[in-house]
Amino acid sequence: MSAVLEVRGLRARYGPDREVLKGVNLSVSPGDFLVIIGPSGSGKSTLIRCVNRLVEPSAGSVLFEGQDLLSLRPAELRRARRHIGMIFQSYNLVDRLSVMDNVLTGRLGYTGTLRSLLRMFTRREMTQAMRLLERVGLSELAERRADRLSGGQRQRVGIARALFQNPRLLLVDEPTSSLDPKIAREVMALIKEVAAEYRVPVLCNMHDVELALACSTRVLGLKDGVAHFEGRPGEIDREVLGRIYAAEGA
Amino acid sequence: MVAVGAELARCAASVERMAAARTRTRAAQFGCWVLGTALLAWAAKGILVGDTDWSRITASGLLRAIQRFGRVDLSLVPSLLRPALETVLMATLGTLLGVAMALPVAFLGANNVTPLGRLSYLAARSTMTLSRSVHEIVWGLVFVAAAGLGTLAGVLAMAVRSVGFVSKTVAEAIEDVEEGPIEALRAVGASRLQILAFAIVPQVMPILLGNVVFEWDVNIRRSTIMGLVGAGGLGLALFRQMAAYNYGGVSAVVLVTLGLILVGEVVSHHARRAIL
Repeated sequence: MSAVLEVRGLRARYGPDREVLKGVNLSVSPGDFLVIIGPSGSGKSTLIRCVNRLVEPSAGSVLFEGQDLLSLRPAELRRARRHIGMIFQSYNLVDRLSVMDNVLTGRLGYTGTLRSLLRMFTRREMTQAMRLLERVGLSELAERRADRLSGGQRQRVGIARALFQNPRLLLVDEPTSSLDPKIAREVMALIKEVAAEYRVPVLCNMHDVELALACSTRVLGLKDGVAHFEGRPGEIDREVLGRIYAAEGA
Repeated sequence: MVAVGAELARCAASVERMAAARTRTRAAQFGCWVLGTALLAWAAKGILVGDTDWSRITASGLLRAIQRFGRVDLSLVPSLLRPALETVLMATLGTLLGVAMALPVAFLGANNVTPLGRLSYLAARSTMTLSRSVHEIVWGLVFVAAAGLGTLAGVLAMAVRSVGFVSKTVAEAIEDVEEGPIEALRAVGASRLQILAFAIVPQVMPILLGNVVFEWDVNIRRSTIMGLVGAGGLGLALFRQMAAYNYGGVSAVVLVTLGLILVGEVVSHHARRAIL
């Protein structure tokens, strides 16, 4: 079975002497829910952002469905990004747009420039968006402005926006860090459900180990820009956690 | 106990240092006051004391002036309504034209979206400075020379004068937008133009509209004096009354101008509240 995403020897740096990723390998196959865990500053967010090049890696390769994303020119990269949905820690909604409009932005990559500037979305697109809002439990709030929602509701809009892309890979960056524990579990459960329904593999990072073990099919332990563990959640014990979370330079 | 003694000594030393620094600051402040007062006195002597004909300023002279201007020529008011309307229309057209020109300048002058790097950024920033640093009366003179006497010159002058303020505030608003939505739209594969329309414009819109209304209010003021250089409106009426030494007429024009500005103030106050 071929992998949807294959990351090899990925390196990234902020400035000349701050290397954040030091040669990371990972692969995501259909049906995977791969969670990256690790302490703050270990490079989790950078790793996820390197996949769709929101952060430019300095070396390595990122094969998405066999195509190396790092070799793409800007227009080709935009086309490739349409197939990769992303959910963010701070939701990243456009506050002054309605919930509906926020979901519709998920398909901007497919919408012609003129049509999108005139906000001319088709009935069909709006129906699809409405169905997704129904799925995440927000159909009543479709016309409300995004800044009037609670954190949990905002993240549900983020999930609907990502699904509206018909993604073939879902990148999820700390989806629950800004939410309280109960809402966090609900949001995580929703992501897991829709990922299964839409048959889209997930690459997610999280610092809540317990939640990560509960929802993942595989886990990658990242520390200091290097993968220290890769395996099934059942294989993680105190010894492994100790290795990942051990104080540096101790 | 020895350690405590050493600590105390260190504290005392740093307090000593801070006290000395404060004394220096106070001395510098005092010096600034003295220098400032001296400068003011020198300026007043240079341009006021020497250049004023003090013998002309008498109590009876002042009274006479008040009497002249106080006899407001209200019969003039009906004939001022058309120039007043002209003034408002000039301000409105000037503002709209100015905003139309300001938007591209703002886009080029915001360092996070400017398309050609330093080149376009500097070009836009110089445009802003040029527009703002030349007085509207001077712009009026330029456009009267270019487009002839009349309201067109006034409209152009105000438009050009408005570009600076509107584009500068909007450019700064663009530089301050939240990065999150931009990142999200990059991730879905949106183009630069789409990101501008969906992530940046909605964030900048309230600031843009608020400042446009403010600029319209300011332009009504500017518009009332445009006539002084022959660019139409109430200013022209003012100029004619002054040329005829009709002091009561001058007062009538000033009164109508005041009313107009009050109307502008009220309208812009409510418009801004509606936007925010």
